[in-house]
Amino acid sequence: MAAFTTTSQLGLVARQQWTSLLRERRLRLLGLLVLALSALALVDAAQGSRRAESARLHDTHAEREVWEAQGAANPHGAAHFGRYVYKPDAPLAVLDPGLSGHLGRALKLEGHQQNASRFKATDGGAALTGFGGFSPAFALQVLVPLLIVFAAFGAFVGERARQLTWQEIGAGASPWQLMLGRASAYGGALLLLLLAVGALAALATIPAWSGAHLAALGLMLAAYGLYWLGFLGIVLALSAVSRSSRGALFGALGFWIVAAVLAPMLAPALAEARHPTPSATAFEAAVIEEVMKGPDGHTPRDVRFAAFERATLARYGVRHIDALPINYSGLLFEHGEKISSDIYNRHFDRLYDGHAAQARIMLAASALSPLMALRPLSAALAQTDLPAHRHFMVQAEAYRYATVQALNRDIKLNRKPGNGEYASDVAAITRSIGFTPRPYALHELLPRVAAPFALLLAWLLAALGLMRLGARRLEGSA
Amino acid sequence: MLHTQALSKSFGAQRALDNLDLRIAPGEIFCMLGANGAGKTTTIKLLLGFLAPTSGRALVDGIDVQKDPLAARRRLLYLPEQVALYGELSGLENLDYFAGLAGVPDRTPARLRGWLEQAGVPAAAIERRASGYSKGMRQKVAIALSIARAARALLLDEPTSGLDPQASAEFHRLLLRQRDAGAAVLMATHDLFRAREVATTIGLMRDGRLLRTLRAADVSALELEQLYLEEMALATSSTSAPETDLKGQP
Amino acid sequence: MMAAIIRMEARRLLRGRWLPLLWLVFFILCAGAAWNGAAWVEQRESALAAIQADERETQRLRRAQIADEITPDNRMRYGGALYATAMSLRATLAPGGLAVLTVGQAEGYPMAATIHAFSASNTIFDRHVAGMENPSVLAAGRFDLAFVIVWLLPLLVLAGSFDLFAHERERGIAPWLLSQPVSPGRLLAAKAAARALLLVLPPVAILLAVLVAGGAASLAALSMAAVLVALYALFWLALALLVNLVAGNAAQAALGCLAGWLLLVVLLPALALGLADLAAPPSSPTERVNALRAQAMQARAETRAAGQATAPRAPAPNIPDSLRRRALEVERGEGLIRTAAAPYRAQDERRLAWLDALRVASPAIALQDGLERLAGADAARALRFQDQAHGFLLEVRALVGRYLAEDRLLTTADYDAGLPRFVMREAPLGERAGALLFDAAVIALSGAALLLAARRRLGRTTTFTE
Repeated sequence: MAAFTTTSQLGLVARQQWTSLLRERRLRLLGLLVLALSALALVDAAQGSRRAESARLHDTHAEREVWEAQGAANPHGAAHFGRYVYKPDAPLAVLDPGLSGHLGRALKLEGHQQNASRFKATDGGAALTGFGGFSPAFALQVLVPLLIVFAAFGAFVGERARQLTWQEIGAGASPWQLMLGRASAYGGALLLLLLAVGALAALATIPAWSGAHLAALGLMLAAYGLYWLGFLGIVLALSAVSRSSRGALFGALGFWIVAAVLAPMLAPALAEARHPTPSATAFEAAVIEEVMKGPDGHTPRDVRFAAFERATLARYGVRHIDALPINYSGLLFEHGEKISSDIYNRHFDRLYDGHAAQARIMLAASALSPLMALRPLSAALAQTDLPAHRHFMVQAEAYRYATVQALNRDIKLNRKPGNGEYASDVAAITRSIGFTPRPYALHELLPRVAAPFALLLAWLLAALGLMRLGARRLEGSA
Repeated sequence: MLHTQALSKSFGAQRALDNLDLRIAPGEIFCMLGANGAGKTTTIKLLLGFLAPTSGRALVDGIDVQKDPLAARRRLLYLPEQVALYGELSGLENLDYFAGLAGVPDRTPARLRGWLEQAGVPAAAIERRASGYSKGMRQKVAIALSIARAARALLLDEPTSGLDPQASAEFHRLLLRQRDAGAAVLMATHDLFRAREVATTIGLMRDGRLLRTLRAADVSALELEQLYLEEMALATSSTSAPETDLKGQP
Repeated sequence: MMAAIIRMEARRLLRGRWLPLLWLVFFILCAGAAWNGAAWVEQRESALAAIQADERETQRLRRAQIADEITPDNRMRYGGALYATAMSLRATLAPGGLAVLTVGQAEGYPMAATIHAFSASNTIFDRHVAGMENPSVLAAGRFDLAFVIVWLLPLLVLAGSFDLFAHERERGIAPWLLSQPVSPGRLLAAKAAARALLLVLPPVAILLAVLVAGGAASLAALSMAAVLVALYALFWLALALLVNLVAGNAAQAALGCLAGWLLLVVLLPALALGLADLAAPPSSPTERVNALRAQAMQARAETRAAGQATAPRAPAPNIPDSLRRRALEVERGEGLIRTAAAPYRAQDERRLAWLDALRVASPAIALQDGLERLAGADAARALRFQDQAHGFLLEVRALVGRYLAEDRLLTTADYDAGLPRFVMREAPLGERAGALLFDAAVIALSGAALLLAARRRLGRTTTFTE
């Protein structure tokens, strides 16, 4: 009987709060404003994505034409001329562009070296470009919590709210019920907002609809929901323990500034300081140094080179290079390419390990800010984070290696001694090697996503605990 | 000293004040009696220049309030119903500031202390932060300001509401002292009995109109009460103006 | 009387005890940001030093090759080092004087160029374009002084002045205050002045102190920075003033101020950028690259079709004629590159013009721009470097042409005398000052517009007791 009364009381409180929330015009306006801004950002992003996709197809086509137009060319020269591949946009990037603005769209594939992607969206700007970045993710991660702060800081403070609370307690409701009731009302409003954004995002990505896509979207929305609820809980708790309206507002704003503005900015900088990444020059220098210790395929005077020559001669049982059944320079290119690729791969692995260490530190910063758990989660599901980029780069590297080695092999097998300038139909050599990058499958993402989800849940539980404390404080002050 | 000529104020279709003709001479205390919404606060605000009249004029010492509000205010002292002070400052500092704004010269601590003591603020409280003052003490600071400014006209809005009997009696004393110093006083109040004791003239207001003016000496307290209720009874048979608060909002 | 009001306001504000806390918070933020900025500058300088060391090392190697290893016998193999085309040079763009202020655009443009006489002019920056930094750091936004000033200083000023008059209105002091013979305009002006003294001067002083401690020396640059930041802070004070003429209580005023911050620092600039993207989208670098590559293929085909090499001369010149032919090819190629790249260049210039013009959309943009220019991290300087690097390339090519014409080989004496070195010529003072004045004007005029609106509002309502 008592339980029945309690839940029905809770329902009563929740419903009352919900009604007064809906009726508050200012909040309705603010909520609609945030929704409108997110919608605007989504539409803009969707259009941008469509433009980028058609540009990518155009570029791929143009690049292929240039490659095919080479006609007869020296394969090794062609390997230096190189090819370009273009990174496709992830469909959920319209919701969370993640790092894609700071990662290049194009990658040059050439012999002897592995490049980083180039042509970042942030290249070549002016002062104004620093103010970009108004994506739906920004609205959802930074602006909605601000909205929560303004909507909920006054739940228990201020003359009117305090009086009402005391009256409600006097009427028989427990402070915990009041707390939960308000939380459910605000939470309900947030859920509506979330569903609206989700529907918009789904509509904006119709071409990409699939089970995995919608599941990823669903997971993203769930994560944002957890984040918002945790934030709400903390603001409500602050409202309950604060003595004055101003104190509650400043406290909640302070939390927002630390959690949504400062921590996301400082944590990466600290992570970089702890695990510094080498500059491009230093990276190249380190690779070249290691390469110089081994054959590079151009200066046949290297010591190891001489050893390789001897080994080759021994293998084929001949006395002189010219007597080899295959072209020695081609063999050398092939061998050199393998060695330099191995070296590059090792260095890149180390670089990415450094990045992963930084990511771990940034995730650790979620002790101060739930946003530090949400951001990697959201970017991972949207496939706009570093691991997703690396996934593309690895596939591109496989393609590069296959292409360059095919060209080298052609020299090895087909260049005859005495040919002055060897030329061959490079397009024909490489035509059979295709490049079809595929994104991560959903089950490949889940391991990376588990920890941040757990952290968000932990935040929600902590917020509930704080709410409980706040409710007890309310009781005390009544 | 305080003079209104056919002063009227309408808020849209609502007539808050209708053709008020009032003349308060120096040394005279005029008490406006009436229910909420009778037009008492509106009159005060018009005399302060916080509102612009729809028609008619408000004059302070011959100065049209609309034409030169600053000059008018220089001669006026307004005592609001709730005197609010800057909480972070002491009573002394608050007086120093407000007197300074009003242009009172030579605000030495000794003189400030003197004014505050004259107004009845206990010496121990003078240096304390105003956030701890009671309503009566805050009012006394306002009175100290009127002493410091030697204001020639006083506008009092419900001065005794919320005061305990002792504070009320003290206020009475100080008000009479101001009158004897030659100030013209307009006091809006509910307090029939206090009005009868302190006023020179009493005006009964209803629905923005000054219905009756009588000399306080001519009526007893009981008679006054009867007259008041009579006038108010007539009010319930006709439409009454909605209540307004100081902010002028219904 | 103004002095009395200012004095009393200052006393009140200081009594609140939160004011020194605010200063302290700002100081900590500035110090952290400056430390960050200094770390970035150091990182960049060491990267540039590495590039220059690379140049020196290559030159040392080549000189050693010429001096020690080349004999008439092995000239066939090493010959390349003797030709002027072996000159391997670098052009670098050092961080500006106040670089600790902001990273600005310095990471969106190449900071160095590798100059080889016969490398195509569109490839000299290729090696220095992509960085290896963790993009998460880039995406997080640099926590530099410009961020603290453009984004956080307004919050500080607003926190201290959002209840400029709303405090009195809320507490009911307003009617009594305004019943004193003081004009509301002067009263508000004095209150604003008190806050200007306490919320504008100290942050500017803290900023200057941090900059000087960080090694900034140019008095002109520091004064300009001080002026820009002071104007900016005053702008936000004006906003608080305007909000206080409209809001009825402190909570409303706080909301209004925050809405103003969101509008001017987050929304308007984002909208302006969106407008720029619509009206003047950036050229597609991938398309440009493909177009240039197509040109290169075409040029090569033309060269092949043009005919075979002429018979070798006798006696054989020091420098083989193939190099002279290559020089002609490069020159022709340069023309083709220029023509092919022209439309992209024009599109980018148009975009930059739009971006620069849209500074007027918000004082935040203007201030960011001003700080970038003071730090030497602006787009104009980066593009200037690119132009000068290109010019340097052409100089080197001309030098090589002379060597080819004279059939002169490189000697150790040439290396000892010093190969051509790139020196960055900064923009003339007048040009730089003009842009900075424009930024200052945008901020000042925006503030003036707010004050005008405040004046009008003040005039319309007789008092603020409502």
